Amino acid sequence: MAAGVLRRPVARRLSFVDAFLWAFRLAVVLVVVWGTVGTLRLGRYTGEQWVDFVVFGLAQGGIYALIALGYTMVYGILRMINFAHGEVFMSGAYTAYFVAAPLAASGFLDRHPILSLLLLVGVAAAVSTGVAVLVERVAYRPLRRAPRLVPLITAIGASFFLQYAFRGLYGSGFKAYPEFQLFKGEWQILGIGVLRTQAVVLASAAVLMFALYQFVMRTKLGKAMRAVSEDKDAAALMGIDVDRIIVLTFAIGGAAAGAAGILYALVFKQVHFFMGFVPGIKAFTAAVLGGIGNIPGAMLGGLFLGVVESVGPALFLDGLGIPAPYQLKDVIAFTMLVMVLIFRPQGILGERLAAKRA
Amino acid sequence: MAILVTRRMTKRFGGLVAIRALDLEVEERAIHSVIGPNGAGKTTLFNCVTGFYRPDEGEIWFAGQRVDGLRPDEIAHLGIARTYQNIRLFANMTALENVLVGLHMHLRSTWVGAVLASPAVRREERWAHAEARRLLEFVGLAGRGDLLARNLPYGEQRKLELARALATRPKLLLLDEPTAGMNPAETAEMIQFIRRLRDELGITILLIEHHMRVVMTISDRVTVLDYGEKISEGTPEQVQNDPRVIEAYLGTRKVKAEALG
Amino acid sequence: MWRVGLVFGAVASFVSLAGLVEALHGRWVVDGVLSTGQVLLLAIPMASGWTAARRSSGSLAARVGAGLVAGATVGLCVGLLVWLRSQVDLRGMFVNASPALFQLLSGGRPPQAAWPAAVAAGGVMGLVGAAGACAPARVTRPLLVGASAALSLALFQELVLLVLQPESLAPVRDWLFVAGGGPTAQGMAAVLTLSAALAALRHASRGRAGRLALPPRAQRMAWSVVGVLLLAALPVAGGPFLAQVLVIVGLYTLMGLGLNLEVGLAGLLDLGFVAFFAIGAYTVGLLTSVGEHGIAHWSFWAAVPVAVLVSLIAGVILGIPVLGIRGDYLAIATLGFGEIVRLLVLSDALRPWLGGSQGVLAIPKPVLAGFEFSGPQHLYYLTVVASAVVAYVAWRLQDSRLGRAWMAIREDEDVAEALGINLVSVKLLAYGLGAAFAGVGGAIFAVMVGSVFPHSFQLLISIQVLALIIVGGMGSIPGVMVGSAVLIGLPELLREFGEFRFLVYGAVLVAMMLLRPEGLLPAAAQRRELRAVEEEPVELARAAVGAATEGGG
Ligand SMILES: Nc1ncnc2c1ncn2[C@@H]1O[C@H](COP(=O)(O)OP(=O)(O)OP(=O)(O)O)[C@@H](O)[C@H]1O
Ligand SMILES: [Mg+2]
Repeated sequence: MAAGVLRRPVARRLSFVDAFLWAFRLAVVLVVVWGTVGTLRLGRYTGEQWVDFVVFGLAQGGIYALIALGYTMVYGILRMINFAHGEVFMSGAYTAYFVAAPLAASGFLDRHPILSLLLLVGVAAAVSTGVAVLVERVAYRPLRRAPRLVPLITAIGASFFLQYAFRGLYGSGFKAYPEFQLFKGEWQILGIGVLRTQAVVLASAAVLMFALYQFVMRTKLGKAMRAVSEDKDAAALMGIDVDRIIVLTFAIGGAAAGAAGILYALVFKQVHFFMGFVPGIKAFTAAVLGGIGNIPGAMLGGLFLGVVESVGPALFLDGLGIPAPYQLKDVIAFTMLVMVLIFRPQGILGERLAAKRA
Repeated sequence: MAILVTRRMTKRFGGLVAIRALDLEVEERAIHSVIGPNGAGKTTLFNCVTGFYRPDEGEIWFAGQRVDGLRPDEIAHLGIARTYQNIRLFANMTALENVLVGLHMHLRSTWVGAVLASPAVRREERWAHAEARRLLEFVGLAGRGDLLARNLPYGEQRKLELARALATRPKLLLLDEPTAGMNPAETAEMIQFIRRLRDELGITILLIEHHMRVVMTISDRVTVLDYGEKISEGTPEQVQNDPRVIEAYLGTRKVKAEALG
Repeated sequence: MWRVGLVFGAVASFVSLAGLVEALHGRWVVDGVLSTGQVLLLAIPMASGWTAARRSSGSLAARVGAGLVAGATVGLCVGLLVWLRSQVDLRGMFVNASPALFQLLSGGRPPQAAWPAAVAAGGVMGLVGAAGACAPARVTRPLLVGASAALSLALFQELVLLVLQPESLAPVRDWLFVAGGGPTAQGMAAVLTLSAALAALRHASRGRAGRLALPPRAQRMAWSVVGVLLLAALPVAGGPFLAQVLVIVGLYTLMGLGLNLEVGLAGLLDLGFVAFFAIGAYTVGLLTSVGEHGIAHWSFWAAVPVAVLVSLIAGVILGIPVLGIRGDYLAIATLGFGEIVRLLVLSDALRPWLGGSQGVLAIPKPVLAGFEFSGPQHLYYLTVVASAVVAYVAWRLQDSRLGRAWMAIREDEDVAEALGINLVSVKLLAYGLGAAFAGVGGAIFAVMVGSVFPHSFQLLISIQVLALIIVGGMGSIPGVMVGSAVLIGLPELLREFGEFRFLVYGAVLVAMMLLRPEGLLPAAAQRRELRAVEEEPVELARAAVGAATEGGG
């Protein structure tokens, strides 16, 4: 069986396909360089604004990174894209809204902000974990031995089912997440004014990622997970219950996504049944950027993507004189996605592996 | 005259040297076997010859033309076909369709012609179907054409893979363990069949085989690989009596059950 | 059986809270007596009983008992839901937890009294389901057919009423339907028994010389004539609404045929497919529009070939960068390209040319020799002809050298390449021709709506097209048509269903992959093989008979 994702070695001659790909690369590089030079010459943004962009990008990137963990761990073990992972992320945040709203109404939220935040993260993580495990049980486990495209299709199906199930249950409108009084305004960190929400989001994401990384690297279960992702059959022979480890992987990925959902709600202050789609794709991009299957890679990929996406429209596009560059924020993210998939599917950190054939 | 030549061909995977500076000459219309313990680099050799891998160093020449660096489809056009160690059929296509795919490069019809159903295209399709049936019959699969490849029994799958390779009308046919998993009767039949390919169709055969009795019966020449290096070469008798070969097989390495059988 | 019951109980609670039951409650099966919502609610414990009975392996009594328990458990779940709602305000969380829903769930009883009734009803339905699982097919098959026929009549009553509109059919109409309401009890009973009886007859005569005496070729001819006549008559009998639905089905068929080349034949999973539909639509829009963004004021007929060509080229151009990507990465990469195209079209940056979110307006209807294709009934014929042409092309391609090469790269790219297939040209042809088919659809879509804007070209469309070819059967042309009729046509006809269609799509995608991955109408090779397997014993028998007679003579 050919490894599905790896590209063949480059052919000897420069075919028209290669020429096309070079032109594509060149065009992107030109846009980036031209735009950057243009923007810097215009000098429309102050240094403080750039710092704001970067901090916002880091906060957003932390969220992507948390979601990306789920993609990367599942891919590491099952070699499949859990297309429904964006919906796992949504389900937690959306459900936790129904805890947050009464908490805010009763004033508990502002009396005990830290406790409330922990509670919300707990609820969201629990719901997301449940959904992730359910999806694995219903849509993926029966298809463990099926051809590669089959689980991808059920994943797409599960993704749609979840979106519209939550729409049916909770309604189709946006829900405004209550705000924490404590997190309004700015903190001075190292002499830089940083929005409190962003600082909280970044700090929480960092703590969660650190904890997860320790779990995977240090604990027995984490080691079993890594063993399964190296070689399922060998791990089974060593007495590891592979199915249990797979469920655990989905559960941990789900919990991280659920927590990310709350952080997302803190930043964007609203939830919606469709909110999982775009962050899901971006988190997947982050996972691929970092080299899929690679946990620290997913974290770095997330932060990198977040920053590029936040800085990009101003830096690359404004200088080109493009009107309303922020509309093209997602175009930047998607372009990065296709560029990595085309040119470096093994990720920025990954090594190039030869395709195993015959 | 040698139809296939490799010159100091090396293939590495990361730190592992799968083939080291291999010099190989396969004579036209010969049955040439490559043997060696597991992981010796035999399949890797095939993958290099068919263009699946690019050798890191050295050259591959086929029928007087340099072929390393060509795409697999270009190499196929030059007249090299192969079968696979773990059978690789088009599982969800019928046996007949599998063979028709093998005929692909001998058909001229374009998609426009196919859509317009021009007489030339129809004639060609009729010919292709007849030819595919003939090939199925030739390998002993008459009447099995409409079955999906994945539903054929193991032995018939091997035959179908052969028919598909033959459909490309190769000058050189690479067979990767064609008798693996066969019983003695089937093995004997396969030996006969390989001889017929050479004698009747004039195809040069490069054969990977673990089954020593097969190797010794049909080979004109045998090359022995171990850890990616050629450790011996010659007629079956010469190789059989080479102390290095015996050591390689009986050394510390795992030995396939029937090796040296 | 408890667990089966609980799973189905969760399903029952879910469909209730998601609003499906209430939505279907608006449609009578028997006027004033039974609604489709109630049927759905009752079907769940029945399915639960059926599953439990199928799973338990004991004696008949044990199996029936299992069914009873499983059904009753579903009832208990629903009862609990009703009780829960009397304690807390569910509506704060679940928007569809309306009083009307709980009126329906509790049968109008107070919450305390509701659960025994629910358990009893669930138990009875569980028993029915278990009985169905234990009874022979000779009995259950006709009943199932009868029930489906009755349910279809209920679901499509508007359509039937539309057909029965002429005054001459008034007696039939009045006998089948309550004036201004749902079907009558007698009508339903008649439909149910009639179709059940027919099914029973068919079942009984199966195996004997029940088939038509015509030779297969003539039979096929006869069926095609019937089909063509039906296709021609449908919009006339069904009016503009049905015609509109059929046009949409036709557009999805066009897209489905295109994506089928890529996914079904060549195995290239493309989630950005809607981009080519958009490109076809925008090309026609820009070339023909008499509004602000029109650039040429061409006629539709001149614009269509250009639109197809532009789509084809776009398919090739977007295909080149993804040539080296395989499998699920390809799906994501194409999704990325599709979104990039949509976001660019939507952006202010391209607004001067493409109209941004407003899109291109004032696209005139096609005119042919003075005849204007104005309404859906006219466009319907245009769509049918286009679909027929495209289906023919797809069919010719599928059985050609190129079609086989596509299937070969779907099955194993490396092996195909080693057999001399040039992957680059074969893949680019798949992308290009698939895109061209979608471009035809887009062209018709542009004149149907009269304007094109980016909102019509979301990822959802690509997913829908993917879903329909999977449901129909990957790689199967009739499958594409059946798939779009089922997945696109039915939800359009059942308008109250609209909100739930994507929910159903999702469920259908998962269920199809789990239960019937080959689809409703599997591709030709699989069918051919089924036939080969069936016919073999016959041949052998014939040979044996031949040998015996020869030996005797
Ligand atoms: N794509 C690849 N990537 C990394 N290592 C590889 C790859 N293909 C082969 N190898 C390694 O190269 C060595 C030679 O492998 P090869 O398959 O050629 O052996 P072989 O002689 O065919 O053995 P066998 O008798 O088991 O078929 C082995 O150590 C194998 O693990
Ligand atoms: Mg080998």
